[in-house]
Amino acid sequence: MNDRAASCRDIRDLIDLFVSEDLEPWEADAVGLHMGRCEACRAEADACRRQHERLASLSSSQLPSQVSPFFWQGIQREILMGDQEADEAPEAAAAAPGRRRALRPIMYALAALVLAAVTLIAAAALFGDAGTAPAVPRDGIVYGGGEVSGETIPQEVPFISEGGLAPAGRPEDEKEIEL
Amino acid sequence: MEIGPVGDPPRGKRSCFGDRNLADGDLVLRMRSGDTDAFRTLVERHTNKAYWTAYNVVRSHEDAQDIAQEAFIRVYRFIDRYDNRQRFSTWLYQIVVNLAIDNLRRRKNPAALERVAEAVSEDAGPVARAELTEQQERVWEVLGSVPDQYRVILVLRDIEGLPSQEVADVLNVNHATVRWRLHRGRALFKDAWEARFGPGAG
Repeated sequence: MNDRAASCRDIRDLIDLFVSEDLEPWEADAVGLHMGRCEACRAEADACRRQHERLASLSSSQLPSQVSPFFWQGIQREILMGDQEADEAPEAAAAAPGRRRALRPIMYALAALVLAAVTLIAAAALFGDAGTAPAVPRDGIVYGGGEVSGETIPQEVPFISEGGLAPAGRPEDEKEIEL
Repeated sequence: MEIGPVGDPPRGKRSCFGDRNLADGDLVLRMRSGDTDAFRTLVERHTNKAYWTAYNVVRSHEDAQDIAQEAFIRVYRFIDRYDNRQRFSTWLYQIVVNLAIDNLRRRKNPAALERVAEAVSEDAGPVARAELTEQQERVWEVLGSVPDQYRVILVLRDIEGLPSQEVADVLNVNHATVRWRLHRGRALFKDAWEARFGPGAG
């Protein structure tokens, strides 16, 4: 009796692995031999089989698809975006994918600086010396009745209002701009 | 490799009608030579597997879908790293499980955990669990009470039915570790089941 009890204890931890066929052959032989004469361990094996069936009922092969109908499109979009980034700078993308993202703030700051400098230079050109300011290209837009496409506008013709960037009231004889 | 324009291309214009009959390894070879239809066939063939594996680990519909999508994007981007001697599904399971474990790790901070708990209780209900029977629902609930490292093993071995050696390959652990965790995970599941429904239930 003691031998059998010890034997049950020995194999109890192997029964679930026996049922799922995860034992080495010599272990499986020992467990099989024991279960041939032990009803309690056979009942334990049956319980393991029932549990295995319960878990297997959640298998992907038993369950329907739950993904969005746009699942594939989402993958395509991500891949296309990745390809475009790689095309823009293949070496940078391959070497350090996050580097361009890190450089973006610096690039934006540089662009802002350049824009500010251009604005300042333009403002200085317009208002810096009112008496001798150079003539301004007119791009074919007629102000004050003069119609000289491609020529320059005399400085006395208002180009920008005194208030700044808002255009001065449209002269009465100004033509509509055709776009 | 270039992938076709976004949107569902007309089926009649797809180049490889025979793709669906090819083995995964052959589809991978075609992918490497630039056949995007082969990639699409792989995605269609394994989407359910990727989704439900992720779902049973992370227990959130939204997260599982994101993980499945990200897994296929990685397959596409890193297809050159795939070792042909390995089964494609093993490689895919590896990617899915790693992403799922990362997802679980991110939840470890309390704020994220709270958000996920809300997401699980809301989105796991009507969307993903709509098709589960009462019995499957009970199994799913008990499975959720099993700690992550054992749940992953149960999902791969007992739910998806991978051989133990393949589970070891997916998780990059040895066979003895799989056996131990499998045994322990089953015992934990059994205890939780009996605590909830009684020893003779189901």
